[in-house]
Amino acid sequence: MPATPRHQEELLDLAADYVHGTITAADGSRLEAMLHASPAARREFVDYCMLHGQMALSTTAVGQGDAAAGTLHRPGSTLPRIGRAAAMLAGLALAAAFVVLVSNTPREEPSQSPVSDSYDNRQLPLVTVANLQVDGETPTPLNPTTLRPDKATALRSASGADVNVAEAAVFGVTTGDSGTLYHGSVQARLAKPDANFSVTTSNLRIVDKGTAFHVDRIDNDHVAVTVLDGEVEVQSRVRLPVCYWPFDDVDSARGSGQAFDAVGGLPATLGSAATPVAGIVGAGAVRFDNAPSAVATIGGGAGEQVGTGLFAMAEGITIEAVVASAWSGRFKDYDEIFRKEDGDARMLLSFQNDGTTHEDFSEPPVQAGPCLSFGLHLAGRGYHELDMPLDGVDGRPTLAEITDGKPHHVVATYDSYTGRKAIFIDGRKRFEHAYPVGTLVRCGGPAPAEIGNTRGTEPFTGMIDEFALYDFALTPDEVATHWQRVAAGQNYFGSAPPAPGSPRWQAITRLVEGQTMTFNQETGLPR
Amino acid sequence: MPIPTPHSAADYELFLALFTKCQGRLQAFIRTLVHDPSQADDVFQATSLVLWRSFATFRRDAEFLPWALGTARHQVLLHWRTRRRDRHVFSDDLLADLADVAEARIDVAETRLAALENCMASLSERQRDLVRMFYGEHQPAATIAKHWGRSVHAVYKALKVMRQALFDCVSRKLRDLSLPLDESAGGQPVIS
Repeated sequence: MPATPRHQEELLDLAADYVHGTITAADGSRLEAMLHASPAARREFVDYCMLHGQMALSTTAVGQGDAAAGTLHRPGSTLPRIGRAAAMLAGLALAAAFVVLVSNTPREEPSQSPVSDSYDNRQLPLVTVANLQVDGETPTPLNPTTLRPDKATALRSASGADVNVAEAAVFGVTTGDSGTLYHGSVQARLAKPDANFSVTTSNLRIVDKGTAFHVDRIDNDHVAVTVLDGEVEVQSRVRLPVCYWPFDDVDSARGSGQAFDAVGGLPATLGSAATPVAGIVGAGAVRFDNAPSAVATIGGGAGEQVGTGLFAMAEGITIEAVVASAWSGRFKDYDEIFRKEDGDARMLLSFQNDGTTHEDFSEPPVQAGPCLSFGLHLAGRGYHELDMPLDGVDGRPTLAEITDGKPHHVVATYDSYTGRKAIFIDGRKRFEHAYPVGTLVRCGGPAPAEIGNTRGTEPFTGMIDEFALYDFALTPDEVATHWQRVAAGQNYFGSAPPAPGSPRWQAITRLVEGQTMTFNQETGLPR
Repeated sequence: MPIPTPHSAADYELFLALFTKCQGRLQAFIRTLVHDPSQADDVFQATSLVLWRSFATFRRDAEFLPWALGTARHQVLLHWRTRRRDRHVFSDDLLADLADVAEARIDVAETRLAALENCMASLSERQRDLVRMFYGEHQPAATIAKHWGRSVHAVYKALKVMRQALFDCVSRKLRDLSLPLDESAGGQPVIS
């Protein structure tokens, strides 16, 4: 630190003028002399400047801009600076992909504006600037990327759809042939007969059927779909899990050592210290005995690389379980409820006590001590954990409450449409953190998913039942309903479990050329 | 070992993986040394392009971040040299010293950002508006002053007071968490 508080005050005062660009020549010389004279002053100055730079990256600066409905929709409105940076980064990544394609494979020239005697707004007028694939022969998944272009931007999908992202839109590129619209509008036209492209807006998905179409988020609740050519199908999300182990096949599990996912049929192989027992909800549950072999290892669903497989969920995620925990809460004792260890793209929900050694991962930062941790990699931000302290403060449970041996409904959600990462206990939100709207998840990959352990080193102590994973965030109301059903001894769905092979999306309607229809994106109903 | 061409698919994958992993720290480094957001973005963009174009020269057994920071540092110094004529700019020696400090502090940038987010939760509504307008939307102080019916000086003063409070708050939080304030946190901890 500078020698005295007065020196520090003067230093920061001058630093403020310097970063504002309003410093006088005399004060500039004075500041320079102070910095030359003292390494501590240089550190203080650098920390202050870092804070100034980081304020532009903060949720308050960016999130409020995103959240201000309408602001991003106004033509010519100013995007938050992080948006420009993100768009530039995405542009670099996509342009790099384009360079690869041009360099490695013979291909036709990028499409130019169509020749036409008169302007036709059904034609995409832009030169394609990037291509959403790396290699045409062996497609590689893209890192999820959110574009926030400050001018209209054209892309070409992996299968050959021309995609025009409007100025000031916020558009997440989740795969080479699909995207997620958070703000503004996007237009797609199939350049080849076998091309395809779909646009998701929270609970709705617009799937081309050989067509050109335009999607516009006109406000937070409504989406307008216009078909310019051909036909599209508008679908609503089926709000059921991707996979769900009720563990009610207890007899079968005792015999074969496997419990089956009620939705996709994936087996979870029980280790020798994971025992089928009478259920908390329904006929069965699994008791994990805090030993290396206390694990239910999920067979299948893994992808070849990060971003692929059943567990690659870019737009949102929910991990849900009913647990009766006997975790010690001791320093360095870890109990995994769920973990998929794909390196920096891991996802986990676990009881942890890191002391002060792992605070780099806590977002927001929290005091050392026992916590329930929800870890995810968010694109552009890296891997972080929402560490909910078990301290009894602000509605959070204490360690004693959560490990009282009674069943508790534990839910962790992340929703890119709101940017909120949250932990719910027994139907109520207890802890959350907000990121910029449109921040995508990077997960999935080759590592096996495990319930109750990770690689034999962090075994759970207690019972786990009704384990479910969703590729979207349950709403607080849905979580509350699930908890009420659990408390009444029912499964989350209040009826028979979802049938195997249940569809993920269901058709609402088809629209044809010239039609425009507005939908409530939560209910799927036309307005 | 032959030097790989920068335009192979494998290189592209590797570059993106390495770049995306350190982009936040790279951006923090540049924003620490270039204070106008538009100019910082320009320097970041220039840095990114130089990194990609020179990726063939990156030794595959070396660490990417120090290599990338070296390029960023060069771009920052280049930026200041071109700005020397129209405003007060520190000497090359001092800029190099500050770049050294910024590089040494970069490992704690993400922790500081998380602490800052936490501290910003306690800002008043008016201060949040100010952050949104000045930092989020990049409205000039004069525009904000007009909007508020205050002087430009008053806007700068409000920014200064708010930033000072946040600076104190972040320092306090990091101290409370016993995080190192004067040097980087060291190696990457193992996640348990």
